[in-house]
Amino acid sequence: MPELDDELMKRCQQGDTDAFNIIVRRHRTPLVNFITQFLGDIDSAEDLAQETFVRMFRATNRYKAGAAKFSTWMYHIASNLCKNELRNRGRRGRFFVDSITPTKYDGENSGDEDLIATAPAHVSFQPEAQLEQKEIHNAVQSAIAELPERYRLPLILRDLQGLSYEEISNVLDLPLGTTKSRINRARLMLKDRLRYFLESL
Amino acid sequence: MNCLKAEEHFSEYLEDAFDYQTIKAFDIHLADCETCRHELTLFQKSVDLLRQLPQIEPSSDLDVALQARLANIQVETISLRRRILEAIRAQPIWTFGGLATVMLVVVAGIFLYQNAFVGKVPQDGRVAVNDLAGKQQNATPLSPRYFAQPASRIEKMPVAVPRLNIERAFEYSFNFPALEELDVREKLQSRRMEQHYILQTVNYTDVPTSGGL
Repeated sequence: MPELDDELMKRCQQGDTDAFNIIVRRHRTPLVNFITQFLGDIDSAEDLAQETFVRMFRATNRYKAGAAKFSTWMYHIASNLCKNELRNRGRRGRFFVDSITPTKYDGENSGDEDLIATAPAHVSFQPEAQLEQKEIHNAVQSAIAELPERYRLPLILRDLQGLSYEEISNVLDLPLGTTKSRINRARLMLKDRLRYFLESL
Repeated sequence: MNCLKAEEHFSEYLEDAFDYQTIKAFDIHLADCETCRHELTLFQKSVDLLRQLPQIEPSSDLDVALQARLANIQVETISLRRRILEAIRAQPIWTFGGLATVMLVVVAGIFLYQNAFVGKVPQDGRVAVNDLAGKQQNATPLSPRYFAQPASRIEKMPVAVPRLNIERAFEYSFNFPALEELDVREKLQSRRMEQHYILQTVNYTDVPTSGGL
């Protein structure tokens, strides 16, 4: 049975850096996905994910097990960093849809040829189907990027990261009712933006 | 329920988080409204698409860069501790002697300050019974008869005990906890320490803090 995050953090507080490495391995993929979807830029996402882990490492001794769920703490730090990043960019949600590879990111050029070559066999053998799927994914990414920040953030946490409403309200410091209504509103906005694709599905 | 109101409940409908009254109204509206049924279908499809977005696998660069930064932080922390220790070691011995002297003076000052008021009469001429009770143990009894008493009884005796009226003193000592406060200013002003104290009334007594009488 894998160790709980709280137990690992307790070990970190006692100076066990291996425990923190386990935490990094466990949370790096969801964290990078969260930041990528929020910023739309995987390079910045990896930088910010790194910064998030560094801040958590520095604040290890201030972590109180049981006060809040570990992932809530992590997303709270990450979302604040994302907001600062967007503020620094000087405009809302600069988004690089093409830089997000739908299947696997290897840090290099992710063109269509690579995508087809590395595509899982069970999805489709048809290049056209792959391209169509990529097009839909890009449309969804763009639709997310067009959402205002206050709606985008809870939507990503709910539908992409799978957090509960209570956890999201803790991450964003919002009342539960506000969190629910923002998520519903974000989904409605997304539906309107994707209407063209949705009607054809 | 109208269409706008129904839209507000799409998420609750999908996640089955309705309360009974709302779902009843929602179902009634949905049964009659073709538009809302269609919008709900699109809503569900959009949420499905969102949840089907593939996971992005972080590059190995992230791990390498992160490990390097974490290692640096550890080195910084260790070197900071080492620098502090070295700075302490580099100080001449008289620095620690000086520090110790200062601490000693501070502690002695606190001790003297606290003891300076023992036995002193507050400006309003009253002293609490608890204070008085605490000082009994330091008092020197007055007569051989006093010494002859069992220790448990002596502890209960008031400090100022008249030599020739020891029985009354005992009586007062038994009533002592019932007293709320004692006025002592008048006695201190009018009597010398070597004189025998006479307990005239329950409200007049004294508390010598040191030395024999």
